[in-house]
Amino acid sequence: MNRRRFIYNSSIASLSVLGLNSCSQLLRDVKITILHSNDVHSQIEPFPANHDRFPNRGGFARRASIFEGIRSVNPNTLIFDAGDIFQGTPYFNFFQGELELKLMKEMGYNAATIGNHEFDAGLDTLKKNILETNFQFIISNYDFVNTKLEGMTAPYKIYRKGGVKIGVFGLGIELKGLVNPDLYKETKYYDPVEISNEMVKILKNEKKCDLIICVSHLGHEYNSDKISDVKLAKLTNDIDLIIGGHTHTFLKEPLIIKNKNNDNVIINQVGSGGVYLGRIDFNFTNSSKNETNSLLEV
Amino acid sequence: MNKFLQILFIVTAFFVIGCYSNYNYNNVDYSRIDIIGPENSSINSIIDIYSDSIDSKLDNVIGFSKGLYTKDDYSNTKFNSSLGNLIADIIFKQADSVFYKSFGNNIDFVLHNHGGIRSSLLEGEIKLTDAYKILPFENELVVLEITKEIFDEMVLFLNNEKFPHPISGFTIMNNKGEIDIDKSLNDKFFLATNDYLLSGGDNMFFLEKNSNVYHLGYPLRDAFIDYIINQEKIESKVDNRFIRNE
Repeated sequence: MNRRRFIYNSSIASLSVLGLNSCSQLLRDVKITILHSNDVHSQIEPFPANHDRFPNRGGFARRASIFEGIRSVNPNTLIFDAGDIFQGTPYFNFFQGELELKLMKEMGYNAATIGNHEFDAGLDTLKKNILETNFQFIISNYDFVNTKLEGMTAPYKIYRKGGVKIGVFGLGIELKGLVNPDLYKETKYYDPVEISNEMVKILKNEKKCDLIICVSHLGHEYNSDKISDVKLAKLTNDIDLIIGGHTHTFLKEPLIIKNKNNDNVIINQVGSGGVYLGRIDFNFTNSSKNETNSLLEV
Repeated sequence: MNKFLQILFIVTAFFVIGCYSNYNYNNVDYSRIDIIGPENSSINSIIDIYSDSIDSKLDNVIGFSKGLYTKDDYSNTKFNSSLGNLIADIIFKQADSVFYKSFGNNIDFVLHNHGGIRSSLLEGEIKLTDAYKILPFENELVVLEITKEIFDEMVLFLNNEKFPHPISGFTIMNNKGEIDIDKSLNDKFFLATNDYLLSGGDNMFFLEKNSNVYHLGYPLRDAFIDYIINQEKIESKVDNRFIRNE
């Protein structure tokens, strides 16, 4: 396990956002642990011993043990998946995603965003599996009005852990040219940058979240104008972390990008097949040192 | 300014801003965790219920592979892969026989998508479960009647792609499509592909401009399995079917 620490100059921008409800100090130091996977592609079991890339690695049962261990040390842990949970092994062909969602619920995943392969068994089947497993999908830029998935997903979620308010929203990739229209039906795709601005406005300005996380299936970066996590980070404000997927990008450590306000955005993605888990710990301290430092910068 | 007032200002500002501000984290730790180690038994007991019912169906050995074939062994000049070539050639052979029986014509070209191949073909015994891992999508083979213009558009598209899409029945040499001499004067061609690409998948919208669609009712994975069952050994390699001068 390699460990890195990034020291931040706390941002001036975050001070300009006035949170009337957060007048009290944190009672103690709080560590918020974010665990994340992406593009697991129905890799329920570890890869076989003779696999060309990942012999004997991965598997849901091992991931569950790791979750358990981390959560027992830090209960302030949230677990997310950045989509393409489905498709890749016979488990999906035979059970159409039922097992994946059932296991993720059991393992303690808090939520996932919707990847393009989540449509592969059609909207009816996805709805049935969401209802059966009570698994939470967060997606902000797909509009499912007039489809079977209407009301089955949330545009954002707010989690409270150790006194810290964490706002999470989700972004999906453009479906046209990627998914058979018979599968996604009348699902509408909206511009990720516009939607992110809306989400940040709600989560930061209205709901006064301390930490904003975007769980994205846009893809890490492209050699074209196509919107990606890297582009999104540059074009928006106030997102602290983008958990990525789709491009199966194996990042050894997160990428730090400056946003529109010149604040840091952390972007991470852990490849595919569930061979790695990303872990990001946000350390909040109870002292006012943080704010004081910022004040001196002002 | 009076020093006292200055301090008072800072202290007041601190209380006003500090009190109303959100909490900020002041550092971040990161680690990438390898998924190895002990397995959670309650998760395994759920998996077992599901795996028992598919293992018996998919454990059959259907063939033997002479080597490891992947979709990643291409280079920027030899823009084709051993597994991509194998699958494109299998589609050609299997689709051609079904198309001829049902519609009385032969296939000219094959186009598959790089992203439609999801796993490598490992050396040794090939089990039914491997066919699902290599070709997990429930796609069917379709044959499209296309003009030379669409063929040329396809060649241009393929040449500009980041990944090599598998082809068969024609070659691409430095951005130019080359067709068998005896077919070169034809005004229509039959292209076998999959229904995902026909639906605009992987942005291959040029396929929508076809003049006719023939649905073979033949799933791609079944074509792959049928071919492997009928071969003693599976073998493939990167060749010269798609050359780019980069």
